[in-house]
Amino acid sequence: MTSKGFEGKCQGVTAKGAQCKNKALEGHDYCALHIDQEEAASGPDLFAGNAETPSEQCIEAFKEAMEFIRRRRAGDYEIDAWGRDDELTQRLMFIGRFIYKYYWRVTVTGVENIPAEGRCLLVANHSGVLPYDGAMTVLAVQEEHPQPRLVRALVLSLVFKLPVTGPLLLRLGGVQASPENAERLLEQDELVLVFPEGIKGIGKPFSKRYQLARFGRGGFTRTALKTKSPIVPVSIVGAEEIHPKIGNIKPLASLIGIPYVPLTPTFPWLGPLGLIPLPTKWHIHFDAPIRLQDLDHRPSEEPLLVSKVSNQVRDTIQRSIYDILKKRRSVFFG
Amino acid sequence: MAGKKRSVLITGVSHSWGRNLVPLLEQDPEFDPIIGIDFEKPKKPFKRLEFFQVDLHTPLLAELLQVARVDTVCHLLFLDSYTSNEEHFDQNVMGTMDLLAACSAAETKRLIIKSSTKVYGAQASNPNYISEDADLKGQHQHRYIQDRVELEKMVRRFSRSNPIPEIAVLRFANILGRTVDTPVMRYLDSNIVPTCLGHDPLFQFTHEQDVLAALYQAIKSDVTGAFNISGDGVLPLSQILRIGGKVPLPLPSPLMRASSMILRPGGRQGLTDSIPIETDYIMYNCLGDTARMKKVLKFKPHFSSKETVKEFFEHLRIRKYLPSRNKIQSDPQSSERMQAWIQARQRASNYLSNLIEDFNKEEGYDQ
Repeated sequence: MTSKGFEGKCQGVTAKGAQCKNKALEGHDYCALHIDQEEAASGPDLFAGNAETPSEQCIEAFKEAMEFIRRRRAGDYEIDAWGRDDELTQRLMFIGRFIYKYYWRVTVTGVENIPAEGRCLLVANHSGVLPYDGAMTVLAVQEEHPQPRLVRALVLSLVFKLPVTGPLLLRLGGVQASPENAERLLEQDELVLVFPEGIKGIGKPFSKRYQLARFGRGGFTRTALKTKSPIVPVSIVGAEEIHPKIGNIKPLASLIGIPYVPLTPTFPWLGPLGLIPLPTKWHIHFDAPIRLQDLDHRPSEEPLLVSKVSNQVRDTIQRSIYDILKKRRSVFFG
Repeated sequence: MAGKKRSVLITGVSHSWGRNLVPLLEQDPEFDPIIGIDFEKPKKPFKRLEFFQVDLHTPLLAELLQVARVDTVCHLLFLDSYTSNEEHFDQNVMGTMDLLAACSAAETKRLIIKSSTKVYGAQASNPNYISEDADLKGQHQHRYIQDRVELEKMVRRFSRSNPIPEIAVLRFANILGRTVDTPVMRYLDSNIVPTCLGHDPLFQFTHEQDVLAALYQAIKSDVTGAFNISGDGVLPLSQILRIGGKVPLPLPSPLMRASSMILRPGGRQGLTDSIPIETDYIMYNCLGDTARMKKVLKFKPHFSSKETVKEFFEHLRIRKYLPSRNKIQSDPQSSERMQAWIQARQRASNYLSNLIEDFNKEEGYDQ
């Protein structure tokens, strides 16, 4: 704010909107008339001056945290139409950011292929026993894209049947995977992330790593065609090795009602510690969008088109994965 | 249509919805005559309503519809019951069947039915917003939802084979208000509210005034088909309880389900039966897609879900400080009449004083 011509002069703005020409008070940037503007500029602060010393910063942070807790307890916050709690998500973002930057050190390429606005469907490969890859892709778009956009990740509906996981993922921005939901989101010009492999992808054994499973029944292509949304293929490398799944305790899985209980080198031998994923090096690549809005087709051609586009997307992802793997010298150091 | 008189018949005028809707219709001169039927006597008299104390099984219903040239029937009579009750089923479902038959025979043009979005059933596999043509899955625990599902299925079958009457079904999301009594209100109206451990579904709410406004709009317009009616926005159950300052009591869902089964044979109602809301509905979402309400019915709710919840809890808090309504009860209509009477008196006295003034001027007594 301090430009050369105004050294020692008041920084205030007069009632007419012009720059004040009075001399500033000693130790201040404003004259006696406009001293209240300084207070306004530095924010509503009960402790005079800016919170510069560490102790004052601490007090500020504490006050702000108390206010946050008070508001949450009074139920005074907004939830969007899909159950996402923006405030809570922003608060917890630092955990995700730490993992993204320092634990898995995600490298992102081709992020400019995601349009800055309008509907778009991101289609990615799924792996890693627990769906960390979804969270990292959402973060990649928010951290690296020139115009950060909110990604709505479609989450397997099984998650919503189980206690705790369902509401938690919903608050953090997940949406239950169903053709109706995907269509509604795309109609509202949202950015949607989908993992067509579903449970077959995320729960595949370690020996099958980086080999794409079946891409569902092409439902994602049908939705994209219906809503005229471009498809951006996303290839994620590094997630396959975070929890190497070498076995499956089937009876226990069917008892709890989940598709698998994985056996990994660390789980369940190390107890809860075994749930810590391995610090691999990740690479997320976004390919050029496949534009479906330009495709002109008869209704009778649609089934053929669906299978064609699905295969094209699958091949693109598989090819990009192999390209990245060719250059990868170490699982943990990239 | 302007200036043309329409004849309407309302069922269930002695119950809360009919009781609140009839005064709205009475204010509109387009509706004449207004006929009301119910099996109970209304607590307060109505202005213009022609009331008959009969149930829906009356054999004279078709003749009544025909002679009065009723062109719109608004079916509001529905009894909530938590356990299996043949008498209620007989009124809710069989009564509606008779009403449909009578409407068809009398060639009544339109039939409007009040229903609930609960008929879709709360399930983990539901899409976030359920559209009107979805399957009606309902649930199995509380009878009142089962009856609604049964009723709606019957209406669907009926309208497939009979083009007349045209049927509009309004499915309302959870209703909150001051003068009505709904299951979700009973659920939220205790200091400790049982919830399902680890589940936090989203809720939609409709304000009671919006319910009446939507019914009124449906009677006035000529739309057909089903409509989900709800205020804008959704709230998770946890946020609702925080707004209300209620203490949640999280119980594991198997326990909630099992308790109702185990305790029932002893004659006493189980834990979940004393909770007037089905276990499924506090586990999973059951939200209606309101696009059709906005586009086709052209209805814009006045209250959002959050405003409705806030107002409801404010009402709950202030309720204990209000004088009991049985002793002190002033009728809003009589205050209107009082005002009219006072105005008439004032006019008369003004007229008299003017006359005297004129008389005085003529006589020249002013000087």
